[in-house]
Amino acid sequence: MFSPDLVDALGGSDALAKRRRAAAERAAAAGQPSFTEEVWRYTPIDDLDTSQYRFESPGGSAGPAGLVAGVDDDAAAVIRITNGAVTDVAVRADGVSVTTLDDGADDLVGVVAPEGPDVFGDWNLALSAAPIAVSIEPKAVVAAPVVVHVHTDVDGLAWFPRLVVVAGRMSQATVIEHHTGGDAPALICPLTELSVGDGAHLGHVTVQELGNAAWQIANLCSDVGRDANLRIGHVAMGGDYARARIGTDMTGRGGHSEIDAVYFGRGTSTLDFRTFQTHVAPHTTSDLLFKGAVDDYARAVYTGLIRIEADASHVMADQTNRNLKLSPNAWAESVPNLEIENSDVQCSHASSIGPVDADQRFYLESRGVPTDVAEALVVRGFFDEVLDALPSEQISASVRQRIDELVSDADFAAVVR
Amino acid sequence: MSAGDEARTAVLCQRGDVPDGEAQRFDVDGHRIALARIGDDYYAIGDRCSHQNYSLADGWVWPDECALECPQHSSSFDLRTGKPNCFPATQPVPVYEIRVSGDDVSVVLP
Repeated sequence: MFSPDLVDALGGSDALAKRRRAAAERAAAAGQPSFTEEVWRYTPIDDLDTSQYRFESPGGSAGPAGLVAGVDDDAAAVIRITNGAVTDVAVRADGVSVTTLDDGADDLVGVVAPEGPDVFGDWNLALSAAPIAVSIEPKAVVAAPVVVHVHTDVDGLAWFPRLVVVAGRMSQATVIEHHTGGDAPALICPLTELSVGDGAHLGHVTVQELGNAAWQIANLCSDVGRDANLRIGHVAMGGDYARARIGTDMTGRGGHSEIDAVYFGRGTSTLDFRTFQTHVAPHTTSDLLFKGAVDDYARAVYTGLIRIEADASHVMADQTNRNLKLSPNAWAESVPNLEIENSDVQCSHASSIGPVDADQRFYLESRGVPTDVAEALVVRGFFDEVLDALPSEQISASVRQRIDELVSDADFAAVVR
Repeated sequence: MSAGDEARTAVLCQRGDVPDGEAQRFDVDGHRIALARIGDDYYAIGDRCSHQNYSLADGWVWPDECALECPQHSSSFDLRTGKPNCFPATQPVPVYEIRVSGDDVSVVLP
């Protein structure tokens, strides 16, 4: 894959350089994963040829506003990272501080994920040239969102965006991460760490609208403290292969986490989601809802694990994944898993893959609604509950509009499972 | 290809490049295609087994059934419809239209 020697050219403290070197050696020893491994099952990971990409940090100009248009206007902070380099940091509200490699982000990198969680996570620690740390002061209530724009438009670039969010105890904030890209091939391996302090409320939304040739292998790791609340939203619309591995570690008693994801695959794209709801502390709760549609020749993979550790009694955890197949050539797979080591818990999981429901379509047709409109309405309704749950109303509205546009284009030919 | 036909095609190989009764993988424009040959007939279906993603082109062509069998868990897929003939696969794979003109074997891109 990449050479550990690339680490030497990167900035940061000596302590970070040492951790980078260790991570690079770990990753180099692990080599490239294969789709025969469980966490890479159903993926095109064997097609990845890292020699086609160059590791550089050329920077560049900002990307399009896309689905987050208007969110910047009253944001608490706006950060732009383009092609491996931080190009702009503007903090406009009290209680928020943003640090980069030059002024102290070094110590925060790895606060939640000191290593891994997979080989690309290790490469990210080793090669994240421009890590950003967003800290919310304890007890600060930051009403407006912190927006991080991550843009890639250099042909053949490989880079490793890293964002660390530390929400101090009893604070409240929302962070929006927006990934955009050009049409050229690129390999982007972001890693986001969310540290939610005791009693804090943190919202985090990722909006991914990459170009059709981009590969994204993303990791999100989080640690939820005592009585804290974490709401994660994930919107995936683009990329040739776009993967998101999302982990929530419930380590403080009384903590709650919620993950809601919306995805819409078109063309020949593969969207891949791996979730890990890990309950370490007792009296913790988590809720997960992933809803997506696949059209054309697109593929979607969801696998999720609820893990309850032996000491985690009185846990409630739910996991639901629903997929809509809009084309006979589209494909989706859903694998929910439970691993429970405590007998006093309530857990549930559910998943489904299918075309637009014939009964629902028939009902609308019987009320005089034309077939294509009926199907568009059913798709709209399908996404409604998860769009309502996203931690940003502005983004919910723009994604709803985008889905409406996509659905009116979609060819609802006879769908066969 | 007839005149006025605007379908987008891509040449996969020359006639005879794929031996009779075998299959080969081609990557075209984001599509992973398994091209199978039975006598003078060519068939193209999605190369990824809908069960576990293994490459169908590594499997076996069954001329009598007009099917391609996955090398890993032995689901066989009808080369004309893409539908699995047997478990463990349950979902169909895409089917692509093939055109043979002269010596060129081309796939019609959707």
